[in-house]
Amino acid sequence: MQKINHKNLGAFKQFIILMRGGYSVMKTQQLFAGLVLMALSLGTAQADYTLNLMEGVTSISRDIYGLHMLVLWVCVFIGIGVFGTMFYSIYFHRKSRGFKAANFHESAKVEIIWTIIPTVILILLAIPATRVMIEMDDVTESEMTIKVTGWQWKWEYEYLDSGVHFFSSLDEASNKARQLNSGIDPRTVANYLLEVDKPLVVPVNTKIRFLFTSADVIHSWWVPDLGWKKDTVPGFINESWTSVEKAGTYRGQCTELCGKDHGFMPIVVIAMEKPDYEKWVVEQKSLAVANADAATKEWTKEGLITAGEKVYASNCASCHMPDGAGLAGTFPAITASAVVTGDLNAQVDLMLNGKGMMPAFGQMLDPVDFAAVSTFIRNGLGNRVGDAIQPSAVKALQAAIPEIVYDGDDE
Amino acid sequence: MSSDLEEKNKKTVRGLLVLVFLMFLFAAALIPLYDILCEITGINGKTKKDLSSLSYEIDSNRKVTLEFVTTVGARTRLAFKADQFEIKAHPGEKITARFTARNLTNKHITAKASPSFTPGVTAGYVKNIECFCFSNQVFKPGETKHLEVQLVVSPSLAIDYKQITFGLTFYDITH
Amino acid sequence: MSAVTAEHEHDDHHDHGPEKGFMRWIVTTNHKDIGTLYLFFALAMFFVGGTMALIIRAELFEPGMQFVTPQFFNSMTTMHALVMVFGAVMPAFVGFANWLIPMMIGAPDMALPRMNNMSFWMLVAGVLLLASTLFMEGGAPASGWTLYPPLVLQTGAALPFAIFSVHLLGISSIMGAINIIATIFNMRAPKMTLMKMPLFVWTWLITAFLLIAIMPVFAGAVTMLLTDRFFDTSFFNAAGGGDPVLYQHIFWFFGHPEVYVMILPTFGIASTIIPVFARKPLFGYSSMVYATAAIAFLSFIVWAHHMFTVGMPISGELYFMYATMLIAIPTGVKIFNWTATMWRGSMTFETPMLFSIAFVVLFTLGGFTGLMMAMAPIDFQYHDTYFIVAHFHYTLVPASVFILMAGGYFWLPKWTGNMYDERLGRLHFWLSAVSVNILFFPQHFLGLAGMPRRIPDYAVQFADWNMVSSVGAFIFGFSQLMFVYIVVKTIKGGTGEKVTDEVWEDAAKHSLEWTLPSPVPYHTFATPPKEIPTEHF
Repeated sequence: MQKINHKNLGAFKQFIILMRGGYSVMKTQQLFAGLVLMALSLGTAQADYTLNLMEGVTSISRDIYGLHMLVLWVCVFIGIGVFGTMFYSIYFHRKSRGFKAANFHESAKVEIIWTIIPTVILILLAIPATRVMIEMDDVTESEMTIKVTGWQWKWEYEYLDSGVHFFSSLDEASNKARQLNSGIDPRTVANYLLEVDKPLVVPVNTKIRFLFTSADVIHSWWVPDLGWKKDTVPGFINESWTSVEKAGTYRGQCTELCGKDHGFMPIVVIAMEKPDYEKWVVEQKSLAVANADAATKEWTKEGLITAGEKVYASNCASCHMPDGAGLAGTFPAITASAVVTGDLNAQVDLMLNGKGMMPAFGQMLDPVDFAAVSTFIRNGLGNRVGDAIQPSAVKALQAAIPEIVYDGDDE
Repeated sequence: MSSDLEEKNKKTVRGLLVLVFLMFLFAAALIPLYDILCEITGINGKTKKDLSSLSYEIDSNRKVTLEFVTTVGARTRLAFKADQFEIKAHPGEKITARFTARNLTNKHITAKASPSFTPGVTAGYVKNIECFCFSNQVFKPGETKHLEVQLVVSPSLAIDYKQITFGLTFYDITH
Repeated sequence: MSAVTAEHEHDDHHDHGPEKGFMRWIVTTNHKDIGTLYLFFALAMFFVGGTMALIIRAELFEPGMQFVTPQFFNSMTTMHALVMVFGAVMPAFVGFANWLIPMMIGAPDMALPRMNNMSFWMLVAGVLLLASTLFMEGGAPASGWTLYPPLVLQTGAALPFAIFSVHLLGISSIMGAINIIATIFNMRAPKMTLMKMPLFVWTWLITAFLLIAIMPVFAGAVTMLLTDRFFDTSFFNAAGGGDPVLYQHIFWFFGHPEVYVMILPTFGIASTIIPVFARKPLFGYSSMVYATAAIAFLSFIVWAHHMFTVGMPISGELYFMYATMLIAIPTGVKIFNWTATMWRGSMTFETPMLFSIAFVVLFTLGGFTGLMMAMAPIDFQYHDTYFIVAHFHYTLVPASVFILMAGGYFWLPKWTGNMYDERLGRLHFWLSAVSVNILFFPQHFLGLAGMPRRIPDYAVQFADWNMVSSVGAFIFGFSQLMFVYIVVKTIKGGTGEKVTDEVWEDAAKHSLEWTLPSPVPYHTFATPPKEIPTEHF
């Protein structure tokens, strides 16, 4: 069996092993390149982060930064050579200085030289790039797995090991400020467009494997400090890994055009020391229990409306607008809407299952949030229906559907 | 324009039109070509029914972990979970993974699951004997289905791969 | 007609002179008229696409949403790209091809004059249809010019119209390409062997083959989108078991050669202009031809470098990285050759030369960022950020568009017989060259600092450079109005100074069109020229 395995490795796999072995040889080259770069970049050591790539907080992100600086300086050197020659020529070989044109127009020797030199440079660049690429691809021996699902326009995170599960969307303050002519200066909003209601929390110095997929269209999950982005493709699973070396908050955004609110689905990763992370997991679990409890208790109408306002802001306001006015021709208004002010069951059915552009919020909201926002839109945003729906009733609605248990063994 | 030149032009145009036509065929052929390429290399992590694996010899020297990850597409009102998170098995051994899906609406739902493996290259080495993802599933209102997938990991899978993730995404395709 | 000059003098009485009035432009089969139509149409679309770009830059001037909704913003980025690619840059090069190829190879007209007329009007129809989607329910396509599914399948009523317009544009391009190939293959003057053709003709020959190879593939891909949306197929729709990534493979199999369709004729015009003003033959003519062919070939095998982050296996990532890096070699050869052409020349710096030099310098910058992005691991950072926006705009605006301007200034005196206003031309150049860098250079910083592309609003740390970029955009955009003024003024008589047949010093040594009278008569080379310029060989 082992024999078969080795045969199956094939030339490609062997090549990869070779590349891994060749690492030490390349280290010397890298050291050299690094020294040159350091000498050159002393002046810009304190470079403003808004000018250059960030080094990030993982070994991969630093490797990528190193490669970026390497190829950047290679380009600068070539540029100095080419543009230097060109501008020398432009200055000295001009008619106005009385320069007489030469008539040479061919030289096989020169052509060969300037074909070979770039080829050598490219090979020298390809070697470290290959090494980093192979390292990025190696998801083995990860200590935990987080599944990331892209939605229009929010992220769903599932911790496959601990069962923690939540949606993460743009925070309320940013969402209000980013409306057309909102009158709110984005500069007054903390972390404008880069803040979420529930951040992704991870432990430091832990190899984390991410699985990526999407529920609707293609998105792309990018946190620059981690060094990469990965597309979330519906119907497919992609994977990638990271190990954050420093506790802190790292921000990113969706980077694949995914529709109207592509610019408004940020990512926030908070890396915690391991004990803090453990505490956070415990909290999340008890929070889930508390939420389940809350769904069984009787809520006051006012309590539901207050809770519902927040749910509305982070789930509904991006289409139906924060004031419920909607967007003419595209998104219906909530205020004075026939559905919202009409039969409660019809409204709840629409919200649970979606229709047309309207997502199925039954997939995203727990019974408490669902009941709260249903109640809020009937009694807020200019509507005065007066009734309320309890979380328990939402749960009951689901349970009221006759459950048929079908044993699919013979199918 | 001389008739000689006209003849020459006609010939050139005819040749080029053939080229256009061939490129159009090529575009159409890309779909099956890509499928074939994917089947050989597994680059898109898809899987097809393959019974050849039943005769594999079991490699008892090592175990491969298969993880099962479930997703529900947008506006697909199903609850869909794998009954087990992972199964460890020897290559060549038949694995049966079970899933549960429930229709959360009071309407009929026709749904289809889309399978995907990661790392993608392993798709060619995980043989699918039976999968509910091969056909449309019709859910009655509120119906709960227990669904099943039977897989065999090929003993020729390179030893580097110890963990394979099998993802299934259910989409509501009711019209 | 044997003597060209005689024909010129009797132009008005000639049987085959232009039709009178408006109908001349509708029914014309004359390559010069059709070239003019293409060029004016392209110029008009340049301003339409440019207006969309200014709407984008106006919205991005400051953080927060001030002018448009996010959906309309997405429509603008999509339409800006489609209009610029299919309505402005490609037609402009077809316009130059129509005007110049017959004259450069000593042919009386294009091989298929009636088809020539048809491909122009089909282009107009296609672009108008595309523009009409702006007024449809649900708005114009807003999924980016790449039309990626499943997002593109969420387009409103516009989808089938946009796809049909792509079909029309594709057919128009294919007909144009067939015409150009037939002209070059069958209608060259007796001594004009392939390796004696001016480089503009060579680059267009290769470009035409690229078009024939890729346009049917694109048409096929968008047709599958159409059936996915309306006929329940699932080629690309994940919900039915389709593969959205397959669309990306097919699209970029078209899309990567497509960007070379816009740059190869650019190389051709640059290689024509630089030697004239350096008063030296082009350095390395044959290596230029081979490098063009090599770039065209490589363009077919590197497509997935647009897709490094979609989740390809490592073998794919590495292959596409290596193949893409190879492009740097023939591209480098070209840049070195242009530099060597200037070296020890006797240069003057009229407007066409200024634009050409700016092209070489700024295209090289775009090439450098191209090399950076070819390296797959770093592309995991660069991909879909403003860094790529800066990259491809450097290879399109100060490259293709600058060379189109250079070509305009270079040949306009030949075509009209009038000299353009050199002082205004230089002012236009300096305004453009400075503002284009104010516009696009800061976008490198934005991308590296983490700003994704195609977003209508951004975090406040990106505000400063976006403001700079927008200021550059408005200066650049309005500077281009000068070009219109200069062109119109030149057509109406220019500086009043009549140009010689050669226009530029010793230009006739470089290419055949300069042996004709200025302005160029309506019909030229009714009998092929006996001698051809030998400067290059």
